Amino acid sequence: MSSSSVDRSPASTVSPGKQPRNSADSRNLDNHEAEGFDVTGDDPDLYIDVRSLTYTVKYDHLVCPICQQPFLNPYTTICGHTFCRACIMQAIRSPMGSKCPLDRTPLFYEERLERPQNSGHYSRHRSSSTSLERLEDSSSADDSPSRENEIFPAPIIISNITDDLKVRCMNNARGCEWVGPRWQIKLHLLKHCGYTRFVCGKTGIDGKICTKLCERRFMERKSEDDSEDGDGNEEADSDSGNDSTDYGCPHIEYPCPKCEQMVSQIDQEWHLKHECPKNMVVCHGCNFEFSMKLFETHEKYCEKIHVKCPGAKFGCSWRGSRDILKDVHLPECIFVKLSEYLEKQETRMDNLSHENSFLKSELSTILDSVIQGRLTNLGFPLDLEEVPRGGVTDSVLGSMEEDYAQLISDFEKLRLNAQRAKRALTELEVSKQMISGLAADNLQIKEEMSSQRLALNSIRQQLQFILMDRRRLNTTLTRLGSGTNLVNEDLPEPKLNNKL
Amino acid sequence: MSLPKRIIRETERLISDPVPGITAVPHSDNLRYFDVTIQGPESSPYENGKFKLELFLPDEYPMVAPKVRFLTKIYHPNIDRLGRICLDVLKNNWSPALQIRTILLSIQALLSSPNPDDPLANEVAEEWKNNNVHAIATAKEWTEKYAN
Ligand SMILES: [Zn+2]
Ligand SMILES: [Zn+2]
Ligand SMILES: [Zn+2]
Ligand SMILES: [Zn+2]
Ligand SMILES: [Zn+2]
Ligand SMILES: [Zn+2]
Ligand SMILES: [Zn+2]
Repeated sequence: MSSSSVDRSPASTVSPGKQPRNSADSRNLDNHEAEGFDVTGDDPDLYIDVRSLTYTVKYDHLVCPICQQPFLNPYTTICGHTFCRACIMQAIRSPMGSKCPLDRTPLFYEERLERPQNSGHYSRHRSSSTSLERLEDSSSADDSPSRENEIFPAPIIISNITDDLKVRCMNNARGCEWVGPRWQIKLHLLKHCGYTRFVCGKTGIDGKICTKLCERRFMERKSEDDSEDGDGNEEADSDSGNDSTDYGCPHIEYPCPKCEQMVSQIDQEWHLKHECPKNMVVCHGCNFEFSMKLFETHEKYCEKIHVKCPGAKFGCSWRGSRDILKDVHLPECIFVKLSEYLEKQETRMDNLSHENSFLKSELSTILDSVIQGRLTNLGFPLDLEEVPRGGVTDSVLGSMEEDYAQLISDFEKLRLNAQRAKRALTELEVSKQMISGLAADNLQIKEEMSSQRLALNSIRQQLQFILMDRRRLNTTLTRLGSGTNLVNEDLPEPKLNNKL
Repeated sequence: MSLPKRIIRETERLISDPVPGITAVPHSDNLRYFDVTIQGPESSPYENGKFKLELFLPDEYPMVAPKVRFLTKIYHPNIDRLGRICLDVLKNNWSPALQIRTILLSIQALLSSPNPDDPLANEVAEEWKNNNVHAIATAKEWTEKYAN
């Protein structure tokens, strides 16, 4: 079904947010009591509060300075600033007057030809609607040859980028997991989301038309019926649903097939799961039979139920019953043993990525404050936000510079030390060579000394031999009785011998 | 009427990333009403003072400026006896692109640099211009007496 048909023929009011609780539903504590998106009444003004959407992606630089949300139908001024159409139109009609809210540039703007869509309207089908508006703009400019408007649609790429931002379904709290581009949200809520509530509109047990709200998933067959009609917007209209009363109001209560308690089709799912005492299931572990509501707790403790090893998140592929896990696998599982370490690593990683994202966000606030600094300059003669922030960055830069200088001087010191050590090493090398040279000399001297000692000894022996000869000669001479003078002269000779 | 997303975002940011010397806490029963404190700026006669203010966001916010008023008595040429503030961005120079944050910063800046040529409290402004030393002494005295 073409989505634009929803745009052109809105047949129901869509009101976001809370609806008064119906006392009949008070039994339900399940998700269909949660806040979400409801279609009520028959006011032709179709409206979805796109500003209440939750985005699942970052949109730092696509934010309207007025509503501080991603642009909706962005318009740009001649001074180059972009706002949501609704926001800038409201601003130039506010006491501020026809000026740019960011730099107070006077802006000429004249409404030309009533647009069929009101300004707050959110056009889902971006490419077609944007080009449509563009056409209107240019054609209306032709009609009145007066001054050119100074506020005009932003470049299409900006609306395309913002319309493609991913958002969560407004019925997320009721259980819808849908995440998709923003331009599809209306189509999803009105056509597909099983959690959107519509006025039931079917004939109740008392023969009156039921006015309670009901999530689409409980009216499935009715909406199928409607799409066959080819008119997508009739489903919410209570008057058009007459022919589909055959299927019955899902609010009508009937006895539960298991326990006989009165439940409606809407409550049945919840009743069977959380309330019914007779809705039995067999435990796939121990094979005992339990009611569904008891099984929920049993499942957490059954010894025989197959579970994963707690180390599974680190890579253990073991699966088995709880008792075997406890008695056999856990004591030997290497992943579980390492889990303390691995968990530490994981928290470290988490911390780091957290720090990283924090730094990123700081950077974007700094960038934002630079932009705002320009703005506040004009609002007030002081650049307010920039001063403290600039100071912060300066001091950070300053301390970084100091650190750098410190590092350089440390490095220089180290380099000098290294040079000194190198020099000392060469000196050491030289003296080592000298020492070994000296040692060699020493050896030579020793050899010479010993050879001289030997020579000396032989001389001494020869001398003693001569002396002995001499004494023998002396005694012979005294025996002969002549030459006493000779003996006296010889006396100092043995002394000399002793010295050697 | 539900609270616009912009006010929720601004409140979140004021609490998660507060401006140094400024606190702004919304009332739990009325999220458009804030209790504000501003620390007197250094080397101003209001140094060491802690000034209480109230801030209210009208239904038309951000198309009209927030309503801000000093609750603590203060001797300042641009603030009158009732605590009303003479500040262009709170009056005709308001822009919907300004925020609670920027307004509170402007008020803090006004404490650092009073503007006696654009007065609200006429006698104070006269004193400020003709007998500056005495005026500053009075401002200090009042800060000690009332802003603790
Ligand atoms: Zn501008
Ligand atoms: Zn906007
Ligand atoms: Zn959904
Ligand atoms: Zn019903
Ligand atoms: Zn039952
Ligand atoms: Zn079991
Ligand atoms: Zn394991």
